[in-house]
Amino acid sequence: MILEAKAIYKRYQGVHKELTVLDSIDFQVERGEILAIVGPSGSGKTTLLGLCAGLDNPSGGVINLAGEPISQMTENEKAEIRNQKVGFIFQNFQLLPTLTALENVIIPLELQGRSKGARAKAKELLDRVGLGDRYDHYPSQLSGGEQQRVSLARAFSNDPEILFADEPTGNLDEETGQIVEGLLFDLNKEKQTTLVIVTHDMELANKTDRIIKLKGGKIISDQSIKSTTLI
Amino acid sequence: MKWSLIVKTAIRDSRKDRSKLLLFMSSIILGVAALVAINSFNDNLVRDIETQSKSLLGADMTVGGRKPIPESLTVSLDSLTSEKSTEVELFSMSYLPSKEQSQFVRIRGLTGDFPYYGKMLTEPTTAFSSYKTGEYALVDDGMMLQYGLEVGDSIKLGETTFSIHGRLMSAFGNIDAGSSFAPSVYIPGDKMSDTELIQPGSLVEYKNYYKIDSDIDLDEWKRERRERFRSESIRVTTIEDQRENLEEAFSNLNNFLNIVALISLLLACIGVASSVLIYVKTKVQSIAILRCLGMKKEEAFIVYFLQIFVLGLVSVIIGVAIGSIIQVILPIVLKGFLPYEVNMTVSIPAMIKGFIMGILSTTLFALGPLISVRNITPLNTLRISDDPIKADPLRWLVYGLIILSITGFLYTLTGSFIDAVIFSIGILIAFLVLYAVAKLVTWGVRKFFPQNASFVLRQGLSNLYRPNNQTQTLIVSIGLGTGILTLLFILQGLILGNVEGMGAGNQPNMIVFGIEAEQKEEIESITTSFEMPVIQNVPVVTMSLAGWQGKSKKEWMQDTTRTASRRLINREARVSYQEKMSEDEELIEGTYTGIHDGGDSILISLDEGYANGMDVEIGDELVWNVQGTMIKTYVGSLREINFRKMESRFFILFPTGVLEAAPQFRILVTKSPSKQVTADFRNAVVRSMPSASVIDLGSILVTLNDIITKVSYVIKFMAGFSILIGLIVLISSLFLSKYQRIRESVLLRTLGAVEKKIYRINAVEYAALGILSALTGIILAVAGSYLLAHFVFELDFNISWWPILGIFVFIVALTVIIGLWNSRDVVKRSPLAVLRNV
Repeated sequence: MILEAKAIYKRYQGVHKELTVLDSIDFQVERGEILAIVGPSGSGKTTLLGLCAGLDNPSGGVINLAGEPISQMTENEKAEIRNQKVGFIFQNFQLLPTLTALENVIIPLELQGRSKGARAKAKELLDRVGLGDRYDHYPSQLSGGEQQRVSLARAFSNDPEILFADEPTGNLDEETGQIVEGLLFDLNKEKQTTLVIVTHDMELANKTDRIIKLKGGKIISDQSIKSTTLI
Repeated sequence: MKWSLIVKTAIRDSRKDRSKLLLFMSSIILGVAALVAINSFNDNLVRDIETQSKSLLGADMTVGGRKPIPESLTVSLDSLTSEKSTEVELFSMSYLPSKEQSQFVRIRGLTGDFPYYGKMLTEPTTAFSSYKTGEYALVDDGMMLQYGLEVGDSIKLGETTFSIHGRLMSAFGNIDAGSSFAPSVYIPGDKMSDTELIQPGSLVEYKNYYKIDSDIDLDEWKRERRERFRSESIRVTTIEDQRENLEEAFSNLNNFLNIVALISLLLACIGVASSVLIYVKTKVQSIAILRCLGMKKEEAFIVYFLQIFVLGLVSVIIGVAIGSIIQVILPIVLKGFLPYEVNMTVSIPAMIKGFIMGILSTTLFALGPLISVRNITPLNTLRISDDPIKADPLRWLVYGLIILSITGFLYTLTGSFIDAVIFSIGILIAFLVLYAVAKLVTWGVRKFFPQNASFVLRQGLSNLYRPNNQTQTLIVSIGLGTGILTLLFILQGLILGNVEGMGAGNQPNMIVFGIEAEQKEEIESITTSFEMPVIQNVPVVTMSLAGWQGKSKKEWMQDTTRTASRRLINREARVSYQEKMSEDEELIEGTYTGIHDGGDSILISLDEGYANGMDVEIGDELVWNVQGTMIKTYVGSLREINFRKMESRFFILFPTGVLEAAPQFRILVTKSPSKQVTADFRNAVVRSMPSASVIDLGSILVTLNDIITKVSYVIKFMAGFSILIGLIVLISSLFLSKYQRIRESVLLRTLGAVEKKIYRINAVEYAALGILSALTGIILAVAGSYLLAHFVFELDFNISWWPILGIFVFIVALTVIIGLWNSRDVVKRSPLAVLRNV
């Protein structure tokens, strides 16, 4: 098991009353599994992703990521886990605007202290996503699809155990979206990585092993595509 | 910590954005340049005061008095050193046989090897070493030029005629008043008695000069013998005393320059803080990504700290270099400004101080906004948040360090811990007042919002309190900037105004004294025959204090509870009598009695300072010894004297009808239109009244006026720095607002607001911010300058409101113009392009 969420709550203090965004969330993800979290806007998908990836702390409950209880860790300990074991893909790409494509891909490796061979590995990944001729381009000089491909290369550069993708094709047109989608699944298969995708695109969700549906901050279904299991 | 990665990331991240830190860099460069320039100037001034006080004194110590130094003291003094020179000095008229002219001169009979430090400049240069070999005299160059004298001509001093052996190009001890109105003539000391000028009652000054090589602490030596010197009425001057005198003379200029230095640095610091705040805001997303990829918050903080620190370091170094280069320019600005030569060299301590202060203040003020980098959450990668970055508790530590460093900096400038604390508190109060005003504005606009006003007005005003408003930041930074600029402006005006009041333009330039009472009309007619005004023609009666408040002077001197000043008790009082008070004097207390009614009570008027020194009040009795006759008087009024006008002022004024029969002489003050008239007038006076002496203040005033012009120049030059930095800060504060408003303006554009409307909305907001911050800043500046003028500079507080109104209009206009310039950037681009980049 790579990810475990036990009785997760997330509450925010509103103007007049407390707002519950996530309520009693329980689920587990096995290594190598490909999981989609779906739901309408405001259902808590991105919040859940942020909690599972160690970007935020839950108001209650426990999250274990790659065997580590991240919900009880300090911010710096979580940063260490993110760097060592997690990869990210964002809807709005989130590349560092002041870094070239190659440097953006190298940075997780450098954060790990693996500068030796980092450049070659980053180039290999950029070649793999079809950007072999774009090493020295800045994000502003790349199209949306190209930026997301750089983001994909970066996500796999640190050989993550688990990859979190937040609406990876949300900002792309259909054709480009499909190219990125294909690359994502292919790379994931090659690297044997666990993949958690947050999306409202059911077509994309249906390509995964399992779909968790959220509504109003609660899991309303947890369905395996291969063997339908309802909770 | 992964240091190599941190450094690499810092370099990579900054390379495309360094131009964003241009304002940051320029603030530091100018601030540090001003600091180094001012400190170097002060260092040069102090260093030259230090070295030149030695050459101005010419010896390590001088001991002098109105009578020959008693044997008992000379023994003790001679034990210090064998290198001693003596000087006997007296003022007398001289006669120039070849020109048939007379001149009042300062005769100095010198023995020994004085001066020990510095050089007596003469023409020919060898004249000073050879004039002691015969009946030779060295005569002031100005006097020789005035009378067309040549080396070899004669000058008669008393009963002896001396041959002029050389021109005296500079003389020692010339910074006292005596030298200003009587040119110096040096003769060999052993020839002084031949002149027969030293008679019982002559006003002679005896002076011994000592060169002391041993390590004796002369000031300590002097302190131990203070009472003895005092009882013998002997003055001892060491180099340290000379230095203190000179420093005191320049303390106001020094204080002002120090304040300019502080202001420049403070403004630069505001510039640093606002530029870094802008920079951090533009970097939130990058920091969130780095954090998301696993960078620790401390590492992320160091990445940006390094960028700021390195750019700060570069800027500080450039600033130090520019500040030092200004030292090369300053001699041109300052030529002839000081009474002695100041060698403008690069001051290493000033550079080091500027460097340390620059680095320290840049770092601390940058840390304020930079510390929040630690709180940028990786969640920002998932959601773009408009919420302000969470405040870091460590900021209190930074604020504390900022206050400490300002106090420390002020301490190094003022040398007084109390002053430093008071100034720091003042700055803190200004900050808090501005912050309170900002809070009050956001509350007030929301509370009393004009619901029925136009859309533009409502939008503009609501920007003042809506989330992400810039009211506090801009009111504090613009207000502080405006306040500091106005303060500087007011102080500059006050100092210049006060100094100019002493200027030569409309001042009298000639004083005739030694006029006998019956020559009153004659001297007036001579003066008017030269078409010169009689500015003052007053009688002077000398008297001494015999007793007061019912006790005799002797009884008081034995009284240990006495509070009256010994100096005032013992001095010979020069008293005048007049019907009316001078127009420049102000009655502080009581009633001025101009005519004595013949009764028992003679009501006199005292200067307020004199009355305080004597610890007497209205109604107190004072008994005077007027050359043998005792006169009992009562304090009838107290006056404040304006000493800035070059006229005779009297601490003690009698009414008319009391002293008319007493032995007296008169003083006449007039203004000569030219040097030629001065010379002709002098001859006319000496011919018809040989006992009178004419003193030409013209040359002193020309020098003074020249100094004043140069001082104003220096002040304007230095203040210019601060004003420039202030403008940069204002611009950077307003650029900050660009990042706050850009998204809203774009959305309004997208929703169909026309260009004009967006400009108007922004104009309303910026005008409101400009008006409020400028007004608050100006009020603070007026209050601050009043306190500074009153307690630090001791100047009359008199400000002119029109220029301040000008500053107000300028700041408001600048705020609106820069604000609209920022909007222009938004309005001109397509909403889509802007939205994609927001």
